[in-house]
Amino acid sequence: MSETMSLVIFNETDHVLAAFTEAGAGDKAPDPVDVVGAGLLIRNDEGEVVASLPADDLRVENADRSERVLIQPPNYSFADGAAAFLPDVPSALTLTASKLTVTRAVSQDTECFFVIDGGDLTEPLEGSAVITAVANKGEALLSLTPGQTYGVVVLIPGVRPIAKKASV
Amino acid sequence: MTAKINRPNFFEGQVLTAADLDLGLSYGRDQHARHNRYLHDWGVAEGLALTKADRRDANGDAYAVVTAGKGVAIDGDGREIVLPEDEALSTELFIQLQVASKDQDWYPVFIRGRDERAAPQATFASACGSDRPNRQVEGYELTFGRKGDELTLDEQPRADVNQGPGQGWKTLLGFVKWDGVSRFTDCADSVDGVSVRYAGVRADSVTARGDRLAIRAAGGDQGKPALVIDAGDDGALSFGQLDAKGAVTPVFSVDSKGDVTAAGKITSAVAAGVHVASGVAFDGMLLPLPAGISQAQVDSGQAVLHVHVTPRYLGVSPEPAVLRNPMTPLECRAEGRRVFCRNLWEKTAGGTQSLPGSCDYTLLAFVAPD
Repeated sequence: MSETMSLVIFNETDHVLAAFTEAGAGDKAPDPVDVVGAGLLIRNDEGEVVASLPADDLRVENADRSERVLIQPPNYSFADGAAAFLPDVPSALTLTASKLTVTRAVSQDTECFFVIDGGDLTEPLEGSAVITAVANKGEALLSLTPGQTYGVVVLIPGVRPIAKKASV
Repeated sequence: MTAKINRPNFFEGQVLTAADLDLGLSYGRDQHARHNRYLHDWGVAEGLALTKADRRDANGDAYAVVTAGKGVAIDGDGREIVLPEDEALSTELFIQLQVASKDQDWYPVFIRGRDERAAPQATFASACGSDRPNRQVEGYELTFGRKGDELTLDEQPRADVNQGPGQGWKTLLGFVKWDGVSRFTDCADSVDGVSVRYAGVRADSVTARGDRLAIRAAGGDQGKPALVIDAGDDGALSFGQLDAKGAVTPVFSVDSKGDVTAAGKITSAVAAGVHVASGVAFDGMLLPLPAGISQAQVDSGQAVLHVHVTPRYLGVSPEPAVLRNPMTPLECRAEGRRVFCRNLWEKTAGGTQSLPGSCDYTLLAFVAPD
């Protein structure tokens, strides 16, 4: 029997956001809330925690163990029961009080999902936007409080997660 | 009269007396009572549920007519008590018994067996020139008790081992609520943790005819829980829901080697001592708890956690074309079960990059003895 690991996956896009092992654990993957609590903390490139992804948006799946996945799970998505490597493709996001703009070259219209946390929000704000192939850009209208600093995580299928902190 | 059991023994030419014929009947009746008494637990076997019909009087005041449904009970003497038709409980009897001690309270309702002499059958009376009754009615009485009488039912005197069914043993059917004046207002099958007791099986051993012994809840329908002992494949005990074919889909099982398989979490009966979880975990998540330990136990203080984390470093780069060793840990700590791990990597193109990282963890849960 091969060794396994457990992957914490974002339901809508199948991004792998965390991975873990537990010696002697059974075949049944635990409930997400058991391993993330209220939410999974996500950092930006500077190492700051920018958002907490709610447990309701996540699931846990078992897969064959891989050391590279265990040490950097956000480099992977979950496909066909295994972790699949994601390329590091340049993407950009801009956050203002009234709008989230995601810029990414896509060959077809692609729905992406976002979670905004922090600032004066009492719970994470979740939504989606469609990145059009024509504009290579997707937008979502927001109503945030000017002067506040928010963390935002954007998950585009096939691309590594983007996390950023921004004052609006 | 001898204490030993007698049975009739007839012979040709014998003059049969009433006593001979009575013995023929009482032998089987007494034997059946002993079977009920010693191989079953007393209680309601079928029906006998109390139900109420809400009413209002001319003044608009609410009250209830309480009815005992038809059914069968086995009393503590092994007597079978049959209530052949639904019967409304008597408020007159309740008042006459003077069981109510205060207004607006619950009082137990009992059924007990009572033999009654039937009216003589006209045909036989005239033929034999006697009007003595030649039938016995195996009757019943629906009666009431004082508050608390339901707590001492097992203390009722029981028939001796060589005796047949007695009469007078009270079997609890439920409770009625009295308005303190003249009417019932409600009924219940359980009050203050005391409930209707149902007839059961009294045995030190239950044996299946074949390889499979099943214990099922009422009906045995699909989706109902069942417990199965199966002698096949060296034996197993399984618990689960019944499927459409009547087989159990096990969610918990123990095989003959003692191996336990549970589909869900085992959260109760946590043994005192140290429970351990260990493995690898990524930044931002909670460390898994050892099997059998719940967050509620941690929150309540029943289980105390000790966590040790170290940066996971096996000399493997997460992305060799972009990042290379050495990796420098920037942060590796736990707050409660939440882990915070961050590393600094050298980029192959020059410079460094900070990334969230993984840790090796050991989590100890100390459970104090009760």
